Amino acid sequence: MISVEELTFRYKRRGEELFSGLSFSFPSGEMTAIVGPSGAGKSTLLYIVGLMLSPTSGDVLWDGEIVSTLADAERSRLRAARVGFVFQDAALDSTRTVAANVAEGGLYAGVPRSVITRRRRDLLDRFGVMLRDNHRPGEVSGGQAQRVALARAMIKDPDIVLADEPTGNLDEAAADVVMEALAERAAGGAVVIVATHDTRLAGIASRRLELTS
Amino acid sequence: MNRGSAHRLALIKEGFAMVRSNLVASALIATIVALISGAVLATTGQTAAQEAAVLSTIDDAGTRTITIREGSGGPGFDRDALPRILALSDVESAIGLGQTFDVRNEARRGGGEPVPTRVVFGGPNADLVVAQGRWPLPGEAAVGDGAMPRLGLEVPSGSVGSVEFEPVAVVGSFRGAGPFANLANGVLVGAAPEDTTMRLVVVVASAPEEVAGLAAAVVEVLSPDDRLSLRIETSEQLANVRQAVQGELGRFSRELIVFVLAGGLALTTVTVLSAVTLRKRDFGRRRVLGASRSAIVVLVLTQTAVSAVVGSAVGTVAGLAIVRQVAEAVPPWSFVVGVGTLALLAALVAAMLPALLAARRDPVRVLRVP
Repeated sequence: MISVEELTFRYKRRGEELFSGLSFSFPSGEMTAIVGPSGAGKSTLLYIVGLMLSPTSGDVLWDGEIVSTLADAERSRLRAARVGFVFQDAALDSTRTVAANVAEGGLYAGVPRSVITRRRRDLLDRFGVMLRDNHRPGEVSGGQAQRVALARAMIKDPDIVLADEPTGNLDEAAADVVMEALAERAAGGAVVIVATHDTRLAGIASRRLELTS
Repeated sequence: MNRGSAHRLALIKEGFAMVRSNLVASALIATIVALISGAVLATTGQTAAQEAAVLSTIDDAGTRTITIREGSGGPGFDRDALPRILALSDVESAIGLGQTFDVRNEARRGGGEPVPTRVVFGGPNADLVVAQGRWPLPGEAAVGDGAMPRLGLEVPSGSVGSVEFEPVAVVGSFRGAGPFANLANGVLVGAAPEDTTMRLVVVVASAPEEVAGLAAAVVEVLSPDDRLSLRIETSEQLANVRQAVQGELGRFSRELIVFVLAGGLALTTVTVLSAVTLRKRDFGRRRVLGASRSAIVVLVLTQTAVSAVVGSAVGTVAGLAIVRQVAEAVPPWSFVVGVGTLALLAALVAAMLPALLAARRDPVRVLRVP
């Protein structure tokens, strides 16, 4: 389980406060949707929970332990080992093949090559992009690219999945594949947190955290 | 292989993959490093080749040689001192020479040209090598290749002798170089057990700068009764000339190398910095996926190192070709390898700052979609 306690975030340069005194828990085995208008701090909260940003004050706890004050190297190690991240724009490496992009998800966690190869095939097959594994990201559609990004996030079998507007650029059919994969992951016991404007995606989440501007 | 090593290996492989996926930057880095090593070799390589040639000439003249003999009428040196001299550090080789006399080819029945002969203590060495046959045992002779025609010998065989000297069998021939070149015009006879006295000791030091100290050590070992009567000929002055020549030629080379390296360093820094700035989203994504800052540094440095190795190899080959064409000489291999290594190290130093900047960039800021 992930929880945040008395979380405050203020931009260093602008001094603008995004949220203050926020406490919330994100249980394992459930999908939580962070909703709210643009600029409310949905992505920022996701990045704080994923240890990519440090809060101005307050704590982030993973399984009851404060992790937001850890050194960068330790936070990177935790992120590599436990977090699968899905970006809004897929964020694939355009110079590498689909297969290499998916494999990169396990690189920093030290997942053995043989395991990566097996899981990559399974995931690409499951998300319907197996035939594209030797293509470059520029040669696949937006929906396919997001499914590749989903496979990259899942390859290390993470127990925390963070998704930032994962269906934002997708048509309904492609969004369905992503939503189904995230729901399935939550059902499997992972903490799944999505920052989204998509009411359909927010609708399938078992918990909602609404941020106001 | 443990998990940590496998992880490091996987990161280095990823760095190699970045070379392919980022070909323009990699090619630019390789080109700059090739220009550095090529330019250094093409310019200072000529100087280094000339320096090597000049130093070789000086060395041929015997910058490392120490010759010690007693003044007229002295008792000579005990032959037992030779093994002790050879055991001194900084001694490359040493021989002792005994009495001198003339011999003729015995097959010519006392006729033919007389050839100077010396009793030799010690065996062959790098400058005094057996050409045919073998080195003479006690009471046997070896003929220098310069003396073979004078004795009318085509192959080292038969015997040589003189009126006052019993004939000895010729068992081989030898060549002399450096301080032993003049011995090749004569005959060497292996010292018999009753030959206990050396008249002259020739020692070759391992390096010119060791000559002065080694000369004192050799005198100590020889422990002559009257040190004042010793005549010691060292190449200390020649060694000083060698050092001066080396210093003068080296100074020019060093200044040029520093100038070229500094230029190359700046160019490589700008290139790597541009490359990592263009790929800031790539590095941001890697950080979010779990890459630590040190992993990012490893990736950037691996990409630079691979490109630099290729560039250094190409530049070295090109630079050597230019030097060979222009100066018709090749600089010493130590210089060539040194230049290649220096160019590679310069590229890695140049990439360090951009690598650290890439590692410290905020991933959230570069990944945020407007």
